[in-house]
Amino acid sequence: MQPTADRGGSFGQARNWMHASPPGIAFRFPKAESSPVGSGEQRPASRKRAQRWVAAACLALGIALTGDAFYIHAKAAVAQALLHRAWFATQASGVPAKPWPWADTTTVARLFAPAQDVDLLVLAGATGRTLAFGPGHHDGSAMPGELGNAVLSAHRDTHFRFLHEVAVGDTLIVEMPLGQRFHYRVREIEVADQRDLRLPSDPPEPTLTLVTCYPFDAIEPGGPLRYVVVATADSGTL
Amino acid sequence: MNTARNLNATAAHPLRSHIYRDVARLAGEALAAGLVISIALAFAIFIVSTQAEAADSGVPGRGTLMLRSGSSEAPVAAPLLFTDVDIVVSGMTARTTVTQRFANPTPEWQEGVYVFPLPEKAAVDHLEMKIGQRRIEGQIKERGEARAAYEQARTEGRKATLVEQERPNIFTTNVAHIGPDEEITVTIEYQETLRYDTGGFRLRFPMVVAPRYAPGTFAIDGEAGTGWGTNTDQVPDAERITAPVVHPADGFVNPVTLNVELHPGFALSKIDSPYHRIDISESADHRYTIGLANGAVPANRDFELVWTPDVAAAPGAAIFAEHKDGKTYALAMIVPPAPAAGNPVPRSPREAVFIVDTSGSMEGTSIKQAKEALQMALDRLAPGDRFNVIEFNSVTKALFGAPVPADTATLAKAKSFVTALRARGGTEMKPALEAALTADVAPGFVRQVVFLTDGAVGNEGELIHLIRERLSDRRLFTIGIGSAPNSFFLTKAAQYGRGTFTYIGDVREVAEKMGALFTKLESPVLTDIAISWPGKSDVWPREPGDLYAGEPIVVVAQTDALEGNVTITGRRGGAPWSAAVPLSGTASEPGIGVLWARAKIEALTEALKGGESEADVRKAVIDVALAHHLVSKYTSLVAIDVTPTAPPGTTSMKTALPTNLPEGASFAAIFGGAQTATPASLHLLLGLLLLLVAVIAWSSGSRTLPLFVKGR
Repeated sequence: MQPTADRGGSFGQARNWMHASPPGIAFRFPKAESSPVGSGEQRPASRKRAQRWVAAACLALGIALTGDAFYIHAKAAVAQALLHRAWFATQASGVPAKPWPWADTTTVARLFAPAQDVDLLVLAGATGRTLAFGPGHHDGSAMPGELGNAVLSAHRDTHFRFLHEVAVGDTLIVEMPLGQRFHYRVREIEVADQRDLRLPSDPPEPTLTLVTCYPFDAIEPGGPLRYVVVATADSGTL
Repeated sequence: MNTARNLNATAAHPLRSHIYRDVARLAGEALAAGLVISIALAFAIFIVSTQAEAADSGVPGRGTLMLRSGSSEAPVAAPLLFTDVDIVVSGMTARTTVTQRFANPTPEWQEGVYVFPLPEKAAVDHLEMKIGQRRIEGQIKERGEARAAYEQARTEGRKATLVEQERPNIFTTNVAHIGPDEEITVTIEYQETLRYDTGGFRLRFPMVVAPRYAPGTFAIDGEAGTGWGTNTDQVPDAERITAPVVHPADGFVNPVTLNVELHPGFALSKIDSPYHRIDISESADHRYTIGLANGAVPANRDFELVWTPDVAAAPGAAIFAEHKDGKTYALAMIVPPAPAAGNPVPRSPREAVFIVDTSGSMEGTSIKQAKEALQMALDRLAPGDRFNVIEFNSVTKALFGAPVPADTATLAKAKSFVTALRARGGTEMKPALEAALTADVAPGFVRQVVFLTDGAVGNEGELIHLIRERLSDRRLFTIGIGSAPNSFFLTKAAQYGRGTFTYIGDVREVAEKMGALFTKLESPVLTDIAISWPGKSDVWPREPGDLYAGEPIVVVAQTDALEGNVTITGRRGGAPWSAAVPLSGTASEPGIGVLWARAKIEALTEALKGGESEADVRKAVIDVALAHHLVSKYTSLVAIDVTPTAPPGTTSMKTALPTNLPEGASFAAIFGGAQTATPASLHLLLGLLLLLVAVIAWSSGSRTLPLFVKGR
């Protein structure tokens, strides 16, 4: 019984503390004033009921939001596991395998960052739908290994979280569906305003550009800044 | 007081339930508290780790690495552009003067490149460059020659202007050597035929080229340009049709003033401008002057003017003629009367396939319009019809594997599918069209494809070709969505789809425009149309296509004599129909010759996709275009100053003039690529705050918690 009593005590203190302070605005409901039963006896009861409702609503919404936060991260991790399975199956059989039955995107490449021990599968198209599952390859940008600029985007708080550990001179490796691997070396790391972001389409050497949001630890999504890691082909591998 | 109530409750059997309730409440409370504590701990760890990781990565400097200029300095300011538009409407045709003033506020010599839209049927036949008080007339030349002449002048330090056609509705003005604090005025003129539909005339002046998507793989051998696009195998000139776009947060550029002198030639019942506020003043004899109510507007959406003749004055047929250089040209517009009431054609079951564009360019007001229009179209399906809905952006997604019967269940499914549509990603239109135009047959069904899009793509020719090849017995109807739709693609897709097109530029128009489309959808009023012109005549277009309710036939001819009758034959409701319009007493109107040449060029260019050799088409188009001083795919207008004004050795900086984002569109959805952060952290934080509030609210409201009662 001891722990229960302890816990009760702490809740009791919280209650007393709340009562000591003037009633919070959030808990004052006009409903309590217009209660059909006019007696003073009933007022605290209806206020209590209102507070219960507020508590229940906050609890439900709070659980939904925290649940969503975990779901986003879980989805990002589970999708990568399924994508890896499909990638190996595709390479083994030569027949494109779907990571999950209703998948509407295809894997285009596999990205390694050896220094950070990162191994990610890259999806076709950088849309909100694909980025939930993995980094996306921008439509219209070059394929990795080709002459031109291959642009990959991913979320700063899931798959491309490792980018802030990447340093100039690091190696990035891209594996293609047929197994060939291309080595890139990071040349530049910049933060740019998305409104000024113009990715060169015809760089002099094969380029891999990784883009994610910046700053990494911002709470709110949707900021204008982008963290841009530019890597060029290591001589001899392309 | 509490104690008293509790004592009352101890009466008999209610005691049990009370205990159960208290126990349940206690359990719930314990669970919630446990959850809160564990989540709070997880969050604390998360924050600590984030801080630690953030701490050891150095904050990199803000670079300008991605600027197209490639230099590390801030980009040089572009020349400023002011556009004045003067449109004179008389009868069936309009002549428009577009004055583009290029002002250079920078201390550097500049070369301005401006990519701008004109109506898809514009016959551009005049260019003038004005420097101070000097006026230099533009000359028509073959595209390559014109460009060479322009480059030559630029090298010699002479001012020059070049106007090229990129698409029938996209043009580029290049102005060389705009000196510091100097202004060069470029005047372009064009002639066009007005659109008459469902009792009203429509004039459209587009103001901005919406950002175009270029599908395909990177191509190294495309045409060089100044845009943000990347040339691909399917759009080898993407760099030429994608002007830089100013972020809406940075304000508007390119102010436009617009005036219309409207001489319809008959009494009007209504004049309306659906997207801009206008001032109308009427002078004698049914002449109107129309201007923008607020002076200048930003070039960020199409201007449209609609005027409706009095019922008594509604035209049935009209013919205008021009005698020019010893030749006679005539324009004929004939509105077939509506089918006689009394023997209504029984409605056959329909197979309707709806294609909806959900690419990034549709984000904002466009997707709302498209969804609303689509919901209305679904409502119109009758039992016995079949349908499917296909959504596309980077990927194509069909609601059903094949068209299904329209019943309560399938329609409900379709409606929730449409409600959930979101606009994001690329515009890969081809797979969607292929999915809608698969080769299955549906005997007994009238097959229709309804295509809702803004047409913001660069591979129009390829798509139109696909529609032409795969159409079979279907009819394809296009609905142009948004404030700056690609009217060239939309009208041509409908023409080769043997359907018709509709614009929806505002969500308020959806009901009216869709209503008009539904009446047309039922059936074409006139099919198998043939036109015979008396004497020796060259008539364009050769195949006018089918006509829908309220649409006129418009043809232009070069003829040797204005006598006899123009005869139109066709089939109406299954029965042969014909009409004859006398040519004598035709009103005289300038500009018909140019319209004839433009119609001929259009037909010749389209023959290219029909298998004609490029060399033959090119030669034929150049012949007509040079004779009529017309800009085309193969000919450009160029104006060159006589004397050099730039100091020797001046290399003017070539600068692409920025344009506005079409009104209602989303910059991030088009250019942001993807939003590269999830709301996970935000949701976690908000969620935890709410849980905390829940705990506080609960405990402050729970006076009857059994624990406290026991504690006393």
